[in-house]
Amino acid sequence: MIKQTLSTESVSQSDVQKLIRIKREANLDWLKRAYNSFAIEDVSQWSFIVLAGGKDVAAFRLRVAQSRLRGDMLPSFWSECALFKISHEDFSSSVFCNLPLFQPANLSYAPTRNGLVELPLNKLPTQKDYPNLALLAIPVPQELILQSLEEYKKARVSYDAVENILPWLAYVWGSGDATNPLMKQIGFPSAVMLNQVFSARGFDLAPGVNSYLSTPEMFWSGVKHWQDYYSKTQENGLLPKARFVIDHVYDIDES
Amino acid sequence: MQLFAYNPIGQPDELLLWVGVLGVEAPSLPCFQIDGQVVQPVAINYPFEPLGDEVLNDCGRPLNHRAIFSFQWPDTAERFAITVTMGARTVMLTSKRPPTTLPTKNENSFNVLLTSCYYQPNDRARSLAQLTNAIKPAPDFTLLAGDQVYLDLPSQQNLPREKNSLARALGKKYQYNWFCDELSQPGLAKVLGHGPVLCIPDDHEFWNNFPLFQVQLINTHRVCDRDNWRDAALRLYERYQMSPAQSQGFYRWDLAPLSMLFLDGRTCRDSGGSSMFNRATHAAIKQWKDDLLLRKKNNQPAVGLLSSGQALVVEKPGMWDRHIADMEMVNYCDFSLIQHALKELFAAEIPVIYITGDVHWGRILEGKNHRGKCLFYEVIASPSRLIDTLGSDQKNIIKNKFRYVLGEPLPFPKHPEAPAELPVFKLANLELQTLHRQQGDHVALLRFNAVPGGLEFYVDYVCTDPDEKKQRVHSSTQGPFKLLSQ
Repeated sequence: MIKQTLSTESVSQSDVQKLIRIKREANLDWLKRAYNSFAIEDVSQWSFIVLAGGKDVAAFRLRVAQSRLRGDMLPSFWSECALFKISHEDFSSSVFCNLPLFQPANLSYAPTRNGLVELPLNKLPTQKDYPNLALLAIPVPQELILQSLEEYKKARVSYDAVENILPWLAYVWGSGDATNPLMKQIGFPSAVMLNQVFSARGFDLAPGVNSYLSTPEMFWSGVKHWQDYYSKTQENGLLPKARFVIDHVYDIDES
Repeated sequence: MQLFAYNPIGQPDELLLWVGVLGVEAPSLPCFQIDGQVVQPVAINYPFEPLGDEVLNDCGRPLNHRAIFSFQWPDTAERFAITVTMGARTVMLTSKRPPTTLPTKNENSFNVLLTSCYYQPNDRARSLAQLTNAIKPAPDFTLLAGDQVYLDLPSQQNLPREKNSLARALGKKYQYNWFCDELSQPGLAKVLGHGPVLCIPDDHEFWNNFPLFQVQLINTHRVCDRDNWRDAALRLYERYQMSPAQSQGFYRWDLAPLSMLFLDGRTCRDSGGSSMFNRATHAAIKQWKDDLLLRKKNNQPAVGLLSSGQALVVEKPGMWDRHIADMEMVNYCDFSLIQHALKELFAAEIPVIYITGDVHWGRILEGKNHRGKCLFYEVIASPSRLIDTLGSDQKNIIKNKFRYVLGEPLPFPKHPEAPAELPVFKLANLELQTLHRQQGDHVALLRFNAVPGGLEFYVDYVCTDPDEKKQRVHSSTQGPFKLLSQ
């Protein structure tokens, strides 16, 4: 187990809800429905993060790596996270921003953009690839997060995201003696980047772990178990919300 | 409502309690109990005042407050429990009346916990307080020697320029460290809860290398922004950390033969290198030195202890370094006051111990005069929880991976090492020698006993890394060190 701080306060009120798919609802449609279900009055006060859980071998290794952060030692539901940059209510030009381990070949040289990739909404993998999905609504104005993201992009001197990607890639591919990067205090690149960007605006996405150990699992844990903490630290009185669907778990039998 | 209380050190005859309340416009008088008995304060040093974080209700009235109450010490020499209750919230802490003289060798030692440089976001693997509360023997006095908060971190943060918004953003960092128990977070609450406690400020109570502007901190580039930040940070320091007993800029405490002087070399510091202490502190340094000389003249044993937020024996940074690194004490004209005081004391063969944090490594330094008499020790304990240095942290971890392949991994790849070489630094012509170097997160427990002619002390370096194996390997006891004036 990786040592962490556990929330001891019971959750009094939390807007974290399961939102099951309607029939074989596509990820994009589910996301739109999840977003609308928040019924947010002033969207300018919020940012959105997507957690996704895949079921291929790479996702399996990423989900198992994060089991070290779970009390039950089961694989995480999540293998990826990204900022969901919403431009219009109809999502027409919305994109996902993250630091993928597998950098696209058609983009500019990764170090020049500090590994940051913008993925158009229509490129979101299907529910077959990402059966697990969560949309987190974080009460920090998106405009501020995008400013911090721009600064981050140019900040390789202070934070070398590309260097953080390499140990994870080595682990996913089983290269040499590569072990779980979390055991070497190396957080999941996209999550570390997002937590830095949100911390710069005074919001801690992963209150349970040291700042450099951020992962999608810890964001999930944050929104599920740390509502009391947020209720005492959020100046604007707004608390994070979440909608999630989990259609894939590993068949582990402990009976 | 959130409630927190701790016992800052006061004058020898007073037991002080700091009580902080968040989320209440007009806090009522708390209920106090000592060892289960209801007690009333003998004085209210400061009634409930705003904490300085500018958190207001809809009517524009402050919601977060602190008060400082004074009590009589209970009639016991043992550590006792204090309970502070307000409404449904209760805070428990402990304190112990300090002795009036240093215990002799056949008595329990007087134990000082020295801790500094605490970065809360990196304290979640195993809280510092869990480890310090398990230290045996238990500390009798806790000194937090600077950087109790890092108001300028994380370095990418975009602090607001508007004064009240800035105060709210900075105040939040104090809330995380002081009111952490209410948040189920690690923090300083349970370190502070083992009283009595003294906090000395250093630069991160403001910003790195305060009061000089910092290239990487946009809010320090313009004079008006620096003024706003200084005002907000100073108010927060005064309301959260400063005991009424140190309001003049120093705290003097005599436990014969030990005469201790704790200096605030930060809040009044100018940016030009002229002065870092206020006038009252200048006078206090002279008085401390004169009192030690008088004890010696009267054939009484005398040992000085000096403490401030920065190391004493360091290389003097040059003009350019002052802006990219830190201004050290040695850069300031009034450092000569300390140098002259030490010179006089050493000439009279009165020994001095200097204790501090600040540098992110630990060290014990010994200084002997030309006759081989030991007159000086510098004890440094830093950090208790290291900050993130993004970029260099990652590179160090990767480098360490290669060392691991070669079979020589470093135990603390993110932490700097204490310098192997001593700087070119003249301290009254003493011959200086490093006796111990400490790396990694740690605190130090200094255990003092009076001996004929002076005192003897040990330093227990307690590794506070979350890894139990590292705790075992990198914790050690150094000493005994004997300092005699007769």
